Amino acid sequence: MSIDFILCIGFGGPTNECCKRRCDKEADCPFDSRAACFVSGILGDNPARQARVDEVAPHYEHFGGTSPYNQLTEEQTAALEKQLADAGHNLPVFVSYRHWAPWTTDVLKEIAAKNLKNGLLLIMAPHQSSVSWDWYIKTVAEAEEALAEELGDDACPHIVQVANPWWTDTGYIAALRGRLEECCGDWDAARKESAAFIFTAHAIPKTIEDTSPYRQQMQETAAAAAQAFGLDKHHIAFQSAPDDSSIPWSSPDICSLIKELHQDGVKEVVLQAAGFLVDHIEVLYDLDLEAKELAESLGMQFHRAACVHAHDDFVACLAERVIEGLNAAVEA
Amino acid sequence: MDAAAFLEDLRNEVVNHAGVGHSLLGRMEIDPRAREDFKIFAGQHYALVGMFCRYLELLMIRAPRSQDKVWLAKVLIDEYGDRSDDLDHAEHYQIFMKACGWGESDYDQIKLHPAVTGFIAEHLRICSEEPFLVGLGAVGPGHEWAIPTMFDYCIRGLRHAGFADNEIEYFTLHCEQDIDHGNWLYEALLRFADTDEAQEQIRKGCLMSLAAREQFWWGLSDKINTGRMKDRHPNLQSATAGSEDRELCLAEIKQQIHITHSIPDVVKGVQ
Repeated sequence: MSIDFILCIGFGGPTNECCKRRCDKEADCPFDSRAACFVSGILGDNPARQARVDEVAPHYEHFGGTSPYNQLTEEQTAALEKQLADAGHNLPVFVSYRHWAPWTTDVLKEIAAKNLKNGLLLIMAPHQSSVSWDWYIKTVAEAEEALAEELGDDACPHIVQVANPWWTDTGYIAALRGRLEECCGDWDAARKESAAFIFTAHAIPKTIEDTSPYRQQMQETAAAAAQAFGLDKHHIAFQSAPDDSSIPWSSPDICSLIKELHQDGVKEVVLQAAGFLVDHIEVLYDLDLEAKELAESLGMQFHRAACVHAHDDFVACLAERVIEGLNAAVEA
Repeated sequence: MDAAAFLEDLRNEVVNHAGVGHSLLGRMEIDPRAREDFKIFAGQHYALVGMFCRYLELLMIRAPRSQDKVWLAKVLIDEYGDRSDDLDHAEHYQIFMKACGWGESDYDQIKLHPAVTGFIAEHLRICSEEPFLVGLGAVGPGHEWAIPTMFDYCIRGLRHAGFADNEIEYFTLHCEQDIDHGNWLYEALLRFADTDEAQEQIRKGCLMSLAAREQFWWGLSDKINTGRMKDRHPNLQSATAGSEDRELCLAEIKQQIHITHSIPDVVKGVQ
């Protein structure tokens, strides 16, 4: 079977445009801000979680009320489309989000209008759990079902292949190493030895972590990136767990780890959000503001290496996985 | 704090708890919910429904005075089916199980997420090991004040997925009965919650139950996301691949629960 389009799906973030998930026109939006709409949507618009919405929405307001997530993701997918074309695969690359427009059903509609039929799905998240990978796949499947009901099954494009995960792929690790080089590549060996390098990922509920390879994959990514950058030791930590939860989430939390390292006499920390692909609000706020403020209040120097963004090596890694999927679809 | 003020604070804490306000519940209306989603939901939730009487029975044995048993007994009579056509609540739930596509032989054989078995284990422990008022906090406010809010979301999702009213009667009936149970409970708790220590124990049990509930919703999300993903792409390896091998079914759990009494040696053999 021949693939004729690529669909990338990511988490999404609020932009300047109304997402229209709760209204047909912007004037009818029931929320005070895009940020409140976005955070409330993630939590299911449940009044019981209003305190959490009130806590997190200001993080977005701090940066002007929107997130750079979608724009940065679209830079990655545009680079992917170009790299695929350079490799002889002239395929359109589309992107949709789980928590903001463009929604998957709308993007599939756009794909249907171009008379494209068979798609390959690329998930824009490095580590697998049921609340990331499986949920993304389910989201796309539901959008297909909804559109098939509207247009008829024959007119609806279908995902026939899903690209494999890439958490230790050479290109991804090279891109992480490249971002570390930009941050502290000029450090001498002694400074690299005395600083604590911490790789972070989003915390997930322990009950989800226990049934998935999420932590294991994160550990493998961090170990590979540390080795590529020539580090003898490194740490992993998790971030952005909700304060109002009553259950354990992935640990250690980044702020707890910074305090622990301070007690151990560490004077300098370098963070890299290896579980995220772009510097979006959870990186900019939770690390660059909160974690930095904590580290500096303890007298520690704080540095953060950027996420991979559209680093050439990372885009090459995505292209490899896509081409692998295209070949697998032909053989199927 | 007087009992009435304590109970008002506790009720607010319950309805604003992350276990009651879990995103899966809120998203019942936002996300497209198919009947297949609810088949997975029902298969996991049935185990909780089937075990609830056991918690109350365990706690009743341990109630210090007869008057302390009254609320538990009234709720148990409902749970045994007094106001639901003589169907106990687990049997009543089976109507919904059938509507979801489960066969009778499946009910006790469905592999349960560790968060589901964890919920059962935690409540058996609370009701048999913790002080009586901690147990009462768990099965009382931890359940009766939480369920109407949670089920209200479920009912919206069930209707959205196309279930008929007679198929989801368990949920609608429970919403009505739990309002009664909650009111009876309030009257009972007004008597119990008269000291700082008693209030602390009731709140502790309630929060333990809600924490287990939060785990349950996450476990259910895990099952639904993975199950539906596998329906669509059976050849793909899900994120939870391998973890199901370690899961138990309700029949296995029931078989392994042993409730024992300790009889003092001094009276053994005395006729």
